[in-house]
Amino acid sequence: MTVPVDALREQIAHALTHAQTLEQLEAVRVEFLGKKGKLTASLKALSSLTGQERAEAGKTLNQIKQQLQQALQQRVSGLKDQAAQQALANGVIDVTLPGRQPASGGLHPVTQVRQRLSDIFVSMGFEIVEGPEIEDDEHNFGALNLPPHHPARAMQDTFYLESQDEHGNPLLLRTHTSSVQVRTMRSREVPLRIITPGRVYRCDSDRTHTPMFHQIEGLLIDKDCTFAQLKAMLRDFLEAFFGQYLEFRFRPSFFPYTEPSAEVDIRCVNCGGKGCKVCSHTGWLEVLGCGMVHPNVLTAGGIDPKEYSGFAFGLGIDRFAMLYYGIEDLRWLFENDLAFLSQVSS
Amino acid sequence: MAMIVSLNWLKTWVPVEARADKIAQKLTMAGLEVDAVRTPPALSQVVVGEVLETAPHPQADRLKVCQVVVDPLQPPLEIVCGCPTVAPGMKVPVALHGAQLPGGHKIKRSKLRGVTSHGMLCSEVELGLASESDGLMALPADAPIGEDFVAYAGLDDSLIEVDLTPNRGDCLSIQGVAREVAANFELAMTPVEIAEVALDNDVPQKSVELVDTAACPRYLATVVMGVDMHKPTPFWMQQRLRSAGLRLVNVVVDIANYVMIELGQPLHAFDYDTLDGALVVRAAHPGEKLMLLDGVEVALDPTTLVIADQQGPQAIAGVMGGLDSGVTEKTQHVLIESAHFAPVGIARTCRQSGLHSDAAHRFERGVDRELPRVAMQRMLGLLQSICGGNVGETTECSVPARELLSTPIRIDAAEIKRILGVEMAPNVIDEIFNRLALPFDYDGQAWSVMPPSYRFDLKIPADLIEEIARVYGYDKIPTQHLPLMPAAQVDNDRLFASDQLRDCLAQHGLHEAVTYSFIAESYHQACSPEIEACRLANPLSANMAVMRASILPGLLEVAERNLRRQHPDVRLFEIGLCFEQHQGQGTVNIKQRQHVAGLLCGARQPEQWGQTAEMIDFYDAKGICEQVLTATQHAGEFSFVAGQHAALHPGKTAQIMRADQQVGVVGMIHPQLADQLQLPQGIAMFELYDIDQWNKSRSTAHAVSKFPCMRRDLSLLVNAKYSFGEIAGTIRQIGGELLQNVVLFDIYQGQHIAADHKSLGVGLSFQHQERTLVEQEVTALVTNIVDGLQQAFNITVRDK
Repeated sequence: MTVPVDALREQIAHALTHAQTLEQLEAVRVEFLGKKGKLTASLKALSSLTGQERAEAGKTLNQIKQQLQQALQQRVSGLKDQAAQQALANGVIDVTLPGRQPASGGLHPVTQVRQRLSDIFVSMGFEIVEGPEIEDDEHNFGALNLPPHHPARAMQDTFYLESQDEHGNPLLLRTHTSSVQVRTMRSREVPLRIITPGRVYRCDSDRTHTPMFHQIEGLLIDKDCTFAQLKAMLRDFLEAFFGQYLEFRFRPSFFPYTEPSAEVDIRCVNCGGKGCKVCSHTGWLEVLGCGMVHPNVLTAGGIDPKEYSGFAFGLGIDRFAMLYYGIEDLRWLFENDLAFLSQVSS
Repeated sequence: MAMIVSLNWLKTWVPVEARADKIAQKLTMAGLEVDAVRTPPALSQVVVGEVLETAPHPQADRLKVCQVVVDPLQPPLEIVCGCPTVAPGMKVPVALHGAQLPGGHKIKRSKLRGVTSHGMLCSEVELGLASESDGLMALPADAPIGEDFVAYAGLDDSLIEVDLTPNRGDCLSIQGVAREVAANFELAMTPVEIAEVALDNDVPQKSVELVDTAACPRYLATVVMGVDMHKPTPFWMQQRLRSAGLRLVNVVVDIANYVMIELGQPLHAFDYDTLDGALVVRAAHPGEKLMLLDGVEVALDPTTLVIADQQGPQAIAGVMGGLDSGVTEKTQHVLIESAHFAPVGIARTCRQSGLHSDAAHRFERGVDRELPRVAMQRMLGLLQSICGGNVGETTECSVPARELLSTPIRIDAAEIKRILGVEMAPNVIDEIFNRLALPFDYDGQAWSVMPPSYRFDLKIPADLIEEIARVYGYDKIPTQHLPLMPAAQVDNDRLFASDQLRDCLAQHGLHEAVTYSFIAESYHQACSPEIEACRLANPLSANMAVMRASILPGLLEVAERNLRRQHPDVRLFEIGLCFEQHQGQGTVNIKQRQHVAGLLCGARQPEQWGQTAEMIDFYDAKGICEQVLTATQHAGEFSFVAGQHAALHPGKTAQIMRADQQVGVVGMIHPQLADQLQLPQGIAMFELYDIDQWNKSRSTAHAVSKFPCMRRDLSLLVNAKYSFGEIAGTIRQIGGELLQNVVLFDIYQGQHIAADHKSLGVGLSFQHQERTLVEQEVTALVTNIVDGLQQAFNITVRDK
């Protein structure tokens, strides 16, 4: 028999041309290369040939087989690529849709600023101490060189409780965290290097005062502690907090618990000193009160003022929060409007 | 109360050339903080004029047409005026055509109902000198016609407003501020000359008795007979009083006030004829009352010092005079008081009575005890020159002079350096003391400083150090770095723990709130009726009268505000002290403990595509509590037990227990409370008490099993009366060590099962630490568990 090589070639070419899918290509493969396929059958039929004829036919058929296999492989991988491309094309999403959001929370600006302030002081070796908010007269006033009827008591309008302490004086809400300094001086050994953050209360409410606010006060007591050190420490602190070099000034002032006393002004961080609403058009922001601890306060704290000296300082956390976040109205801090809290919670 | 200093007045006391803002800056840097500098008002083209005649306006009943002389050499101007007080012969400020008045007003020649008006006659309001007035500003008869009003009235002046600290009572006068200016500008003072007054021996002398010499160590009284109360207060004096912010009263009181502002000594004038017999400076007797100058009758407390005559109290010493003994237009003879009162008594009286006055303000802060004599001379001189009268001899009662002497303060250079950290040469310190006019001796070692009587604030070496520092200049003191701290004693566990708790809650989507620690009584009753609250004696309002025993009231209020402001999803927490009071034996015991509380309502997740909105429920709040409790060092010891809370739904509340102690609560808002506060029902809240007792836990690491974990899921059908807590407890008990985890993945109640039953889908995970588990042992364990559940709860296992 002669092998119908040309017919086979023609059939294969026809079949390949018409096969458009992976299934059809598989069908082509089965039709020609399957166990009962046409090419397989022709190859089997070679055994009936002999000699030269067999060799030539075998060579030709194997050539066809190879070509077919190659063609099939090419077509299959081409179609697979196409399919993959198609799948990718089908898989396009709208990347501008909003991302999935969990409920978000955050810390109150007063907390964030308190932490920022505390971190700076802790890095300077200060230890954080807290204390009670309901206090007695002795810890809030008496031990701080503020005897009864001292005119400076009028500087701090005090909330009193209906209840009294064991001396018959009304209990009160601490007007400053200096009361914690008194407690610490009395309970601990010198040297001391503490800060006392916390809530304080004064009977005062208007645009720039809330009846409750937050303070950090600091106290350092050691041998040879000086006003010069106080200046350096506060300058370093203020520059660390505001993250910039600042022009600042120390101004003589008066606090009953310090002598000498000072107030610290910085060049307005909002306008650079040109004058704006934030600094009441003075170019300066009053940010801190401080001074050398009054000998009477050291004595009341059980510390010998001849051997030790100390400095103390105090600042309003809320005021620093206002400066830090550009908060225009103090009362926003205590309204707890979620829209406001979200702005400053990151 | 600020001290307002007229620059022109100040310049008569100290020859300072600097501009007002430069003076203000120096004073501020010297510790006298200047609040404001007021520059001269924007007034121009206003002159002194005289009204020659007035005639009715032909077209308007209320208006008058006036002929006003504003220049003696020119014919009068025709000016229309609507003020009923205008009268011929009156001298008034006249705003001419082109005049500029405060507030940007310009005056132009204009026609008023057909009559041309060539200017305007002014009241104090129009000139910006007062906020109200009852007519034209009447000028003295001797006011020179045509003179520029600004110059005449001394308005070309700057006012420096000094906000004095309480220790600098000595600067509550022109004299006091002048001393500071002299020290800071290195100038010599030019004090006002005070002439001796001629005495008339026929004028009686008042006898005075000092009963309480501690409260009043010095009292001077002088009688002046025949005082002409109808003399006007000189115009220059009026202007200076106005500049200081004082209101005019009558000529005698005005002169007394003038001396107070000038020298700093408060004076008082009595109507001599109303006083009966000798004066006594004493404590008020119980039951005594006094009608004060301001027309208010006060009951006098026995701690109040009064000036009494034989009839009773006539004045509260150093605070305010009585109405009946006050000087009026009808007064003929006066008694002038110039006294020194101790600050403490005045402060106590002011605090107790709520009274306040310029005099009390000064006495509270302290007045120079040597000033009464000088001030009396000044008062008598001015009074006689202005109102005439015959001056009698002054009665002076004083404690012995030595009791009033101050003691010298000793200070050496080493002490100055110890406190300030700067070495100062002796001549620098000499110079500073000289500039402050502080008399001193220097013995080569130390200075012995005798503060003058007006510097009563200088008592101890530290006070002198402050004086040295502020005159030297705080800014000139160098900065010096702190030495490193020797081993810091750091034990910040508790505080860091509360900050970690804050972070934990923020990560769970809660915003931190900070609310006032005082709340309304009604909120206290709603949330913690069983707790005895600490109440304020002087709250700002009834809404802020009770110290909170719980943080929930504050959060409810914030939730209400946010819901009202259209924030429907509220997730808040707060950490802070809560207060309660317990009656002890004779005293109260106040507990101040740190609580944390949270409030959630609205959607569980923010509104977004691809997720259906699920509303917050009890278990969201409980989950957060569990997260918080897990972070403590007692993580495994907490349990949730159905319980009650005043503010919470009785069927949706769990008490959080540790052993047999309640440590917190979680639940849904009580429907009645929600209605009452006009809040939605879906509010979940929690509060954990006294969180400081739970320090943060330090986790311990365990080896992790490398062998496979086997899971079996069970669907349990059980009567709904059994809680999951009980069932899970039994499962864990039987499961033992191999049972690593029990997860509840489904709860079903509904039509496919019996009405009083529920179906629980539970996943059990088993794992061995050291080997692979065998199928049979897990099956046996599960069988045991199922048997146990059947016995305990009559549970059936549903086919899956």
